[in-house]
Amino acid sequence: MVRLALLKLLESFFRHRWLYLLPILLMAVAAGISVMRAKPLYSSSGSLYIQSGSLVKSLNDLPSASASWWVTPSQVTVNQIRELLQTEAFVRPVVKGTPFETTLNGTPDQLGEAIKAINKSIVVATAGDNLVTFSAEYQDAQVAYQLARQLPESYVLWKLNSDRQDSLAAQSFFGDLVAPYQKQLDTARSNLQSYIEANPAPVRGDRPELERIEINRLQGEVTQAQTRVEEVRQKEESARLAQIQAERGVRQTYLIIDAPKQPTLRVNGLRTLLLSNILFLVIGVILSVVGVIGSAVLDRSLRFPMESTLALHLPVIAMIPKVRMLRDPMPVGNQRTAPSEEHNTDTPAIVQREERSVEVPAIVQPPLTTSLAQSSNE
Amino acid sequence: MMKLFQNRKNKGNPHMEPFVLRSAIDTPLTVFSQEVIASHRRMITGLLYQQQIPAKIAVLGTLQGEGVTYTALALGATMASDLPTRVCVVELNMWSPGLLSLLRTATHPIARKRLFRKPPPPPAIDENLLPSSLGVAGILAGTVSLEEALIPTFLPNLMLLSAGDLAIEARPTAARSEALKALIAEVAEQFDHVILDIPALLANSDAIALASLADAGCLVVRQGVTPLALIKQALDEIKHISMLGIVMNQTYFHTPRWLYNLIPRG
Repeated sequence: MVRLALLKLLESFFRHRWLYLLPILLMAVAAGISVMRAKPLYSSSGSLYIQSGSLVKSLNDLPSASASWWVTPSQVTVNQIRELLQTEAFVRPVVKGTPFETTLNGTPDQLGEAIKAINKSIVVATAGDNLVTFSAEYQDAQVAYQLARQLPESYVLWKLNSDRQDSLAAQSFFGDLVAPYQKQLDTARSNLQSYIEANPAPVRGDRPELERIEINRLQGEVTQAQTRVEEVRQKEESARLAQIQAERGVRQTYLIIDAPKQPTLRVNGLRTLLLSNILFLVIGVILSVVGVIGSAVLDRSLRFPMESTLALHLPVIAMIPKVRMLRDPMPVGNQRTAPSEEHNTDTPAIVQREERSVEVPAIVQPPLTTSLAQSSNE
Repeated sequence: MMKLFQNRKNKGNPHMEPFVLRSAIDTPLTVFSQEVIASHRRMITGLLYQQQIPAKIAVLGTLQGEGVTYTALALGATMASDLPTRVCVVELNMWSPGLLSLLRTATHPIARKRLFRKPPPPPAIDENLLPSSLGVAGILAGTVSLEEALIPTFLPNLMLLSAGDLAIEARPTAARSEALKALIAEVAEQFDHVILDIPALLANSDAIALASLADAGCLVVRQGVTPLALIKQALDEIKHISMLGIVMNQTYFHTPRWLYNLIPRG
């Protein structure tokens, strides 16, 4: 059965070998065209280290690495960068000075397409709990380098800006409170001064009880207003300090370990292209194999003598080869061709055979069909 | 020089020259390549030494176009040429007779189909030089005798009997008639071997009745064309007939010989 299956597969292939080689050929041509049309691609990459402690501090509401073991600082950073890469505000500084910059100035649809293209060019991935790798690919080495260089810078700036905004808001809030609180303090002092002036202390003896109570109340108001003003000023200073600390913290948190370099060699060299396009050939081979197997399976005709023995339980007694038909008419009345020319109508056939038997027939290799018949009947 | 079986390997080899079947008056009737003759010779030799060659052999086919008539004629010619026996090829396929057409292929070859050229007109040949016979139909109708209906060939021990033209409605009756049985018996008396050319088994049921007139049968199958299921069905129809085996016609293997030899034989 194995022999029969092999024979059927081989016969199926060789019967339409050009047809089965066609998918491989077409795929090879497609691979060749793909290789020929492939533009040079350069890649520039670097890595960014995130210090956990500072990061946790800077990430106000995000889970910390120590508290939330399922989210690492690098994952948080990668997710943030990926999300930010979807926004025009973040993408603009990243693509500044590159051909992408002009594409961002189109219609909203064109902008969306441009952002998609930029996202395709930039790859950000985690390489550990605290390490983020980033790379940028482009047909121009300089542009690839620019993209890779500007990406971490833009991200750090964005982080700085976000923290600065918080501090500025706090400063502004507390700065706005200082003036009214100062006014309240001045009013309280003025009230106290006016009352004391209106009610001077007696020459002899103590102030009356009511005056003392009123002065104490006014004095309390002054103290309360003064405390409030001092607190607001202290908070304003704290906000200012926090801004400076945050800026320094961000710079310390995000540390570029491997700075991107300008690539000199193209990523998709001829060897790489050929290796990547080998998929075409594999698909072609698979198509051919499927075709051969399918053809062999679907062929339910009697093709080999072995099939007759197995399926019909009958021997193959003759295998008549396929021969070309006569093309031109034979002339009527000419001499006979061998072996009929040896025949004589007056002579019995047996005598003719005896005459022929004198000749030693040439050893002619039996045709393949004969061998097959013999093997089948064996 | 006529172009016959253009095979460069065999060109000039006298043993591979085609075998031309001629009429008694030397008109070429049909041509068999030596490969075809060798295949039939091998078949006859196998039958001769493994068992006796039956007196009446039915050459059967599953479907039309399997090459039954061609095989029957080639088998008859080979037997007559190789054995000291009298052989008669009887065509019983009245539904689509092809013996007389086959006997004209040497002088009227089938024109090749050309895309932009018209096939050349058939050569003008005196029709009297070509064999004609009223055949089995004429004998059954009583128009001619067996001796008159037989077509002689240049081999004195080979005679041919064509089917003739019988009315469609008369064919089923004729296939099962005693007259036909008697005719076959008469032919069998005059000849050592009678080769019956039977119509396709699955084409009509009359083929079964006609096949039953023989002592044994062999089924002609076109390699790579006839489905196995239909062959089985045809063989089921003629279970009552002793089968010699299968004759694979128009065989051609695309697998290279060296590769074929590499496959281990189980």
